[in-house]
Amino acid sequence: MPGGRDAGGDVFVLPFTAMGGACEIRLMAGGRAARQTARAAVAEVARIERLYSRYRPDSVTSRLNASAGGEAVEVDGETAALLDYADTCWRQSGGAFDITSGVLRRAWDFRRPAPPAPADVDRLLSRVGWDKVEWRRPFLRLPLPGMEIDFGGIGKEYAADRATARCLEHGAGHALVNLGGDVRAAGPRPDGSPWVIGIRHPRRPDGLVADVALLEGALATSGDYERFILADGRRYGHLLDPRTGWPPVNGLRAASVAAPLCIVAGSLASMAMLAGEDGGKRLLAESGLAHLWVDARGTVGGSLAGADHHDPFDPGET
Amino acid sequence: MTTPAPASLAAPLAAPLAASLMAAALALPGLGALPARGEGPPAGPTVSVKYLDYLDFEDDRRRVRIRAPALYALAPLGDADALEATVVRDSVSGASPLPIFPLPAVAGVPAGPSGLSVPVADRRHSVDLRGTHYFERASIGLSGSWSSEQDWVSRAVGVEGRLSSDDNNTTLALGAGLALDDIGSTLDPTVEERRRTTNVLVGVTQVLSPVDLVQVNLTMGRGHGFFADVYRAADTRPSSRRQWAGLVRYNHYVTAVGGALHLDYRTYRDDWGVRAHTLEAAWYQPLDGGWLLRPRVRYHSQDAARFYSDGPDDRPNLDEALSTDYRLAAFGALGAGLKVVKEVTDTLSVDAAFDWYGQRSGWHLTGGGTGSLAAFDAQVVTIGLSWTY
Repeated sequence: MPGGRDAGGDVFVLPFTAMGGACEIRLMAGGRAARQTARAAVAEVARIERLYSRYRPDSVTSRLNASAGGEAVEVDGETAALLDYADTCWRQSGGAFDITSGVLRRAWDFRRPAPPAPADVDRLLSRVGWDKVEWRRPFLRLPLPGMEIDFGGIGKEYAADRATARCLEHGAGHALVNLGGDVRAAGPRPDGSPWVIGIRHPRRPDGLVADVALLEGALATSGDYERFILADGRRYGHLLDPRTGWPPVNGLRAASVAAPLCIVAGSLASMAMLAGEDGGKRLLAESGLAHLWVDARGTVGGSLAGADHHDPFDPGET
Repeated sequence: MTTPAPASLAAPLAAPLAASLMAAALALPGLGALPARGEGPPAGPTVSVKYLDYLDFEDDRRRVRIRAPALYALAPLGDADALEATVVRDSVSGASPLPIFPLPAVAGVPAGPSGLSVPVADRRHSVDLRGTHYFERASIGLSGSWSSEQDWVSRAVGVEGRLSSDDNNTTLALGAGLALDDIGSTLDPTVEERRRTTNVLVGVTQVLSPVDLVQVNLTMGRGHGFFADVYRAADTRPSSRRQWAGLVRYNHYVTAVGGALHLDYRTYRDDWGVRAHTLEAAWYQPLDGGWLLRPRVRYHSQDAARFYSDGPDDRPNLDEALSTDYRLAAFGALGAGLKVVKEVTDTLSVDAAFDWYGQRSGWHLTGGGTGSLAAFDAQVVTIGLSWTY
């Protein structure tokens, strides 16, 4: 298997690909135990991907979506807990964070250089809305044909938390799980020092906005630099507001949140992205959590930006 | 510049939004607390060889020595089954057919065959087999064991089931066992006695936080048949015994040093009047370079059985229960040991352990045990080699 052991014998890094991105388990330990721990953590990520990927016809997600317009489906305890969590996100965000919004992807093709026709978006909007879903644990019913559930907004972060739990369960108290930039630490480095995590610059793929020192807990980032449409001088990010079917006007370009759990960090970052520029900054500040934002002008701010608020890569823009 | 992110699992989240998301996230399986090890067969086969050398002393006089090589093998069978086997062959040599104390780990617990009186030299063979089938959140295990020495044959079967909650934070264990013993004597071939023992176990393991775990086990046993020591001149014991044992275990993982504390409290009582309390603390410390150190200490105190006597045998009726077996006396005991494990390669590890055990009447909880009891000490050296794929 890939992964190796450095000359000191006490760092074990296992890179792998999952959930559409580059991932890594980093353990400050060596030998058989480290190998088995990393293997268990990767297996946990694979298990969650298998269960919730919308690309797999045998996944829970596909089974639920296939039932749209029909009878209620009974779900297992883990799926029920995720649906409960998604329900909390929907309520707490005033409907902005909605796991039924994935169906809007049918109108939004981010490989094309133009936004969709408003009529197409409006037609799909009728099938969007967590409030339309009948969720009575453990029974879920998608009442309208064509409705879809998508765990994409929380699945990867949940997987990072679960993989970390696997590491802790195996006694690895100095481990870092990185799933495509969403990071969760199991304890600090062995000498008690923090892990240093670079946050990518929203417009320069190899540039960093900030280095964040993480002793434990998680850091998750949501940004519009992954997928977007540039048309008529406007940038349409891939995070769509389920209430309008369109990306928020004047939204933040990126938001990072540090929280005890990756799933909480990730959903707060997404909510900040969906709340518009002022709303997003306010949401982050009021969260009481360490955070960082990059707005449409390229300004970097938030508690993790420290005193150095300007973008070191774009000094002219501030 | 690098900015610290003060994200702590323990930090209260004051803001309502973050707090409500956190509360909802903690309801997700495995996120609120460290999940107990999920049920599932082991990833690969394991073979280990151990060699145990036991030596005891009474009032500093060397008495009994046991050498026991053991072979252990574990093999996963398919995705959902595992088979384990242990073979032990021990040889006992000693100065006289005095009773020997069972190995330190079983103080206060009914002695197995080798814990009873032994003749000058004897060999014991034993085989244990266990098969486990794993379900998604449960497992069921069946076990059988057989052991034989010149004057004793023991057979036992057991079943144990384990069930974990959806979040893996709570595990329930239920077990039952039956043992049949045939007891003879190397001095008197006419001795043919039997004993039948049954026991049941109920246990709960609860994960409290990512670094804290508590386990509670209750065991009840009931035996009928012959309990006396055939090598003692005056030894008459009741023909039945009821036993109750409780275990409370607390494990705490200290993230800062990467080590774990295991604290065990055991309590034992039976209807012969024996009451015992045992406290044990062990520390598991992995070190760089594939080392693991496990120091441990133990204290044990027990009350005598009602019919224990260290005086002259003045029973009017010889059917009345009476025993001079000092395992039924009142005493206190201390134990200390260190185990070192070194991973030689990714698949091979070696271990060595030294344990000392001492027993004195004056170490009883009240300070006053059975007065006439001789000082008893034992030392155990174990070395092992383990190979895991």
